[in-house]
Amino acid sequence: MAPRKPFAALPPGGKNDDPSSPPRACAGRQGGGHARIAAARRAIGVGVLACVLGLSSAGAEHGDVVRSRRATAGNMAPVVFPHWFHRIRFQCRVCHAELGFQMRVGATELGMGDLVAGRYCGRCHNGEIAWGLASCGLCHSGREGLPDGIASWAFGPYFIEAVPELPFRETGHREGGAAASSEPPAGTPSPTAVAAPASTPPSGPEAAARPENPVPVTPTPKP
Amino acid sequence: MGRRVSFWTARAGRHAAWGALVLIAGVAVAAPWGRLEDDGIHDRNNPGLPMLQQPADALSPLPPAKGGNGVDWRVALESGAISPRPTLDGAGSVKTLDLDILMKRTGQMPWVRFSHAIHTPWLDCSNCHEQIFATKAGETPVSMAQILEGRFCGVCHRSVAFPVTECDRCHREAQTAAGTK
Repeated sequence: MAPRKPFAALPPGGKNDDPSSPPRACAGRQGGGHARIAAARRAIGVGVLACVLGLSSAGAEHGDVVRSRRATAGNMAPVVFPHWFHRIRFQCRVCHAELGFQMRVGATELGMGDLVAGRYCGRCHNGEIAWGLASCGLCHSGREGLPDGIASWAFGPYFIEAVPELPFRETGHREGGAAASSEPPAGTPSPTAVAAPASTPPSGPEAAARPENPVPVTPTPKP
Repeated sequence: MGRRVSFWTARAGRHAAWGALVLIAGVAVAAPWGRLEDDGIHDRNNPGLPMLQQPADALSPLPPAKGGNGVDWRVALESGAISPRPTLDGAGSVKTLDLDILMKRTGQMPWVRFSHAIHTPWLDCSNCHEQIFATKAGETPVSMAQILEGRFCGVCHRSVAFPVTECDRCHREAQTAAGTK
């Protein structure tokens, strides 16, 4: 066997260090070149196929939020919240200042009780501005087994934010939301809010947060 | 022969790489939006799925941009292509601010010019101040690593606003001896 050229001496697996092992069939033998070309063509084909398949199912849209934990605990499909849909219709400030959603994904603890009481999604999803809470499947539209997270174009089709671990200053959040409902700040689990049954007519501070009793929505000036 | 084989392999590899690049570019330009039933997060068997708007239906008429939703949201807002409500009931006005902040600790990269005028038509002061950024300019030490972690600018510019891959949309101020603030 002719001394191997450095380039040809490196088999793809890199495991051919043992000199006693027989030379690979395609390494510098007659016909081996064709075999390798064929393999390369197959690789190209597979690569092209992978590209087409991977891109035809482009993945979730940038900013799609999945809320799964609580829904799954209640035997419901995860909620998919499309940012792209909502930002066409509302400025960021409406949800993130007026409605009390925190900026960090997953940092706002909410349950159906909140929504029934007209808080968070329930401010619009009441059958007047947007579909009501009885249209379960339009929000609970995620497939089973999804984790909580947010999709990012830059980090792959479904990139999970490490929500609880990241340090996040908790001062002054949810001022707009706190003004709309006299509730403990979001993030503090509120058993009364969570356990509010659907049949209970809203009263007191909850009624004040209902859309038919609109709360003044002047921007909160910062000192 | 061995040399020739490696030549062919290398050439095939180059072709594959170029082919993949062209394909990615082509498909990304042609159709950046997937359909809900194929996006990997929606339940295909959900009977309500056909009632939901498809991303392409809403986003394709809007001004295009690289990355993210494939939409230049700033231009979309300024051109009137979209007119999102400033408040829940649509009434009232918003507080905007025309103040640029020049961030110069950018290493070899062009400086970052942060424009309040672009951000405040969308966001309330309280969305960023004080919990993400101190109100006083220069008091919040920001690094690209932290942004990539999802802090500071990364709270939005990782997953909702245009993504961090669009370097020159923030790093848009050539470094000079003098600078404004």
